[in-house]
Amino acid sequence: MPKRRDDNAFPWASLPTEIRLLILEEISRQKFRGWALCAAVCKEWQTIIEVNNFCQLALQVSCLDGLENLIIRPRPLVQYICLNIELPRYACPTCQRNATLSNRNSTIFRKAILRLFSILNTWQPTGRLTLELNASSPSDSEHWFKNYCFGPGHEDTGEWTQQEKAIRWHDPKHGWVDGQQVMAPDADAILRLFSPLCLNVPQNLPKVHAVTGFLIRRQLRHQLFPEVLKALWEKLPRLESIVYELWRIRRQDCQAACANGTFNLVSNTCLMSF
Amino acid sequence: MIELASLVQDTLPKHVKRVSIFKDFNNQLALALNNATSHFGRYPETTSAVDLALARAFATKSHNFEHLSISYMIDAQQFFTSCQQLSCTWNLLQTLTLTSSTLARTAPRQNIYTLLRDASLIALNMPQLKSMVLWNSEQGQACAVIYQRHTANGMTTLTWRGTWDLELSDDVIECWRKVDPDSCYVRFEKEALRDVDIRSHGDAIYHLRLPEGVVDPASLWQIRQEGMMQRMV
Repeated sequence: MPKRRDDNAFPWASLPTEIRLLILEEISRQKFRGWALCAAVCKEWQTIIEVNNFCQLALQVSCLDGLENLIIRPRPLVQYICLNIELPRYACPTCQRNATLSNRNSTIFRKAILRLFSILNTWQPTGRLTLELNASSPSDSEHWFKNYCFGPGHEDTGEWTQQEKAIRWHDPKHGWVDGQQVMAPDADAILRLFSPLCLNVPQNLPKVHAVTGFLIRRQLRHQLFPEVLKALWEKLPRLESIVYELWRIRRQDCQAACANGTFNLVSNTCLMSF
Repeated sequence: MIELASLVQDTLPKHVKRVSIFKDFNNQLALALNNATSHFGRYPETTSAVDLALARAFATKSHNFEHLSISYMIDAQQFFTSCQQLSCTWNLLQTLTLTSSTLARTAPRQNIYTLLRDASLIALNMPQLKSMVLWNSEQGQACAVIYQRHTANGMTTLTWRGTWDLELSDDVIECWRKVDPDSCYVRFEKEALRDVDIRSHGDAIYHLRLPEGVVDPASLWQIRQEGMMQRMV
């Protein structure tokens, strides 16, 4: 007579607590598809899985609804939030110059920031919470800058073999032949990549008491003007730590961009101090 | 339009205790831009009033900081010169990491010694200082001067780590001996980085084993990755 299924069940509860925790930690580390659902199994599982599930949140603007609806209980578990703002794609005529694109980027960035700050405004200050802002267009890594790291939303080329690069990076129009860069990027394309995101943030940006750290990594190629940083920092009254990685852009390059009419947005304001 | 210097000096909130600035660069792009915009006239790469104002702003503001790291934005020499003009103490500062173009293989040794003496004089006014790192990377080269106060055993070390050699002068050694009178003694160490390939400033940070907080770990990986691919061009 076949044994009942229950008799074959893994004796989970008989395992020592240390071993059970090790297994749950490993599940959290491997993050296989659907791993977060394990939190629903029992209290023990929930404790471990939730801590790992919520400690770092990498969000797109479309995820902000989910963040808004996040119940209060797991909020203190969140130690890091990165908002990756997806800027519009652009086609080739505009991969070099387009002032309208800058204005669209600015609107998207301002809206996303306002939304995020409005949501986090309701969060109570608990422990440490770092906020990272990032923004890029999927097209950034598709035209001239194939070998650059932009973060989420772009292909991770780090693991590619030379053969894969040779196949996927063949785009003579943008200076790539058989995986090799044979031509430096066009100056206007460079200036577009490093163009300012916006000139200021919305006036009605609410204060966020929960955030203690502010992070901008060098994967954000666009410039943030001091005005923008000032306005953001002023709304973070518990800020303790600032990590700011920016890019060396010479002011004469910025002037050149304005003179070319590449960026309407920065006209009259490009005499900046970087 | 506000300047970055006034942002640091006037706007940075008092409750900010840890600041890390990393100004990245890409020589290939700089060259491409330079060639394309040459009709606007070339501007000499000199220390501008803007840089000095920024160094002064950071020197003034660093009284409030516990940890400060600035890479490639201001020069350590400018920072120390600004500090000297302030003549006060940095009671909170525990770690300080700065880049300096003076730390170059071909730079006059006297300039390097002046930088290191100035650094030691300012360190005298930083009673909580646990580590000060001055570093630089050039094409294929990297070096760092690392001052560390080990609280556990009361020992202090001053380490030269680099792809090239620097003989510290007696007066530089004497200056650093005075920084921590409580310490049993200052150990001077030298560590030659041999057979390392410095393709990017990311490789420099990696091989110099600079303390945490100079650059975000994911960014460091990206810089090294991009540097590696650039070399293949």
